[in-house]
Amino acid sequence: MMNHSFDLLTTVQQGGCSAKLPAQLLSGVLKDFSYDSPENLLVGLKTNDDAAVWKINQNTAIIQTTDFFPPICSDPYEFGQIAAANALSDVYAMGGKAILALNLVMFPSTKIDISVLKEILRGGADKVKEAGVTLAGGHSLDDFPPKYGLAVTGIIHPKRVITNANAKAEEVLILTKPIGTGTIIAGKRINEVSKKNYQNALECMKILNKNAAEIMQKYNIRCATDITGFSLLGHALEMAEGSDKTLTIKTSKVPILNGVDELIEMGCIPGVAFRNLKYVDEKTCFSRTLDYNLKMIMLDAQTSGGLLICCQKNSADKLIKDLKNAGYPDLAIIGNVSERKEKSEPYVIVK
Amino acid sequence: MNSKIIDARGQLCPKPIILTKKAINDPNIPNEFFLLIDNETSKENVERFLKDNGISHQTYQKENYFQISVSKTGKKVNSSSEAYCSISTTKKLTADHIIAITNDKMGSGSNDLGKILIQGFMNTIKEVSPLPQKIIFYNNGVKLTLKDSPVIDSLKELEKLGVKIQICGTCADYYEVKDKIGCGKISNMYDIIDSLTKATHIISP
Repeated sequence: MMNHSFDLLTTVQQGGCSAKLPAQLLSGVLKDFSYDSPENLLVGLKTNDDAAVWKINQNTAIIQTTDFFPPICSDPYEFGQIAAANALSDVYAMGGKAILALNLVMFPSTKIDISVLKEILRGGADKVKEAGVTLAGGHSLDDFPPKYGLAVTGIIHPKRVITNANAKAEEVLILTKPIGTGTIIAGKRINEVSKKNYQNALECMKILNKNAAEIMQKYNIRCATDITGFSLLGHALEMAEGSDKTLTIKTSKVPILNGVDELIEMGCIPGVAFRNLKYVDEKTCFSRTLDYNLKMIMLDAQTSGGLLICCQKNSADKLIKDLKNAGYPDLAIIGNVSERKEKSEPYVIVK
Repeated sequence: MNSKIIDARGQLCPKPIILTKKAINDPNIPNEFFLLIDNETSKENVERFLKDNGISHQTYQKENYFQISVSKTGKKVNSSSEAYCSISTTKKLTADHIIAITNDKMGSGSNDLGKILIQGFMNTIKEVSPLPQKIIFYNNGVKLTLKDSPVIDSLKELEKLGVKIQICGTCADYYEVKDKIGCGKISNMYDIIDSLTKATHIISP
């Protein structure tokens, strides 16, 4: 292992998925476009889903996605691992099997030693390999700050596509990873997070959602999404709107990374959490007894976050047991889905 | 230093919020202090933070920065571990009583005073627990639900909290204000009687 003195976090103000364009801004731009939606396009722009799905024949559809972002952590090798896990996650959120990946690289030709790039790519390649995916090329630009990610192709049976727009009333919501990565990284920037809590957050982001995808298929799950830059509540809202259901989140049940409570208590609330608040505010009902800190944690932008899975009550216990054994020890049931009886009812209720 | 001015200029999020919170919790900082911020996003985030924590503040645009005057007003930003436990997961936000508003004034006497009172009443409903299940507006009362009503923001907030707003359609037609209504649902006499019949009790200020 090489010893790097270069801290990638010094190159950016906002890293990882918190570098996304504000959701409101983006949807404002997209709403004026009309895109074709041929019959073979099973999942496209309509539902703000994680990836596009194109049916090739009766038995196979391809899943196409891309994701890349500026540094989320100090160490280049770990940044490569996390960026790759995050990009692959969109395929897994759809229940697919990732097969092929291309690198997307932006790196300055001067400013930073080129060995740092090598480490980023090594981290990415190792993660792709761990996922059993073939890395087959890529594209690079001379740019600062650095950015890295993948374009990924996956496959799935057309009838087994898991979308974020298929939640059913009475289902329970399962979250596979703890939240709070955005806050931990913000805390790292101002030197207020312990080494242990920082490393724990990185390890969490490196975990592939691959096993969870396979288990979802085993249990015939039809609705899920991965939690990234728009925060738990932002992605829950997308799911609720796409499905026209109400999602109730019980904050006391949501797994949270160690160290996040303390950071939020001191006021270390990443700016992007306020952006997410603006996005969800109109369509979300926050309980009046909800603790302010907890509310802001629910709005924390995640990088390479876990999956939010809708599961029928009677199979939840078995699903949870399988997921725990497959490497998601912190998962929890965090809420449930119900019918939205009237248009005035909120999409998301946060208790 | 017992400074009255917290200078967060040149600092990016989350630093300005950390400084704000520190100042609020620091007994050595006076109850009224000024916060200086020089970027729009941080200003907005700090304002939202103060608002959500019920801390009164006012923002002044200076030449190339913002000055937010913060008044602690006795309230501390503090979340004890008990606050986490007190989140009730089953608690209903609203009760089964109904508020019926029949006029755009409260009580009889001076018209001006009546208007001030009804505004105070409408704006305070959300502070009292439990919330009503519904608020029904008829006759002159419908004027309070119009887009330019001084209480429209409070009504919208109540709707978000789950309180239903029912507006008498006949009344809105009579006063020719149907297209100016800014919240709630137009309702008919059948629904209004139905609601009033089923309510546990009715409050009419």
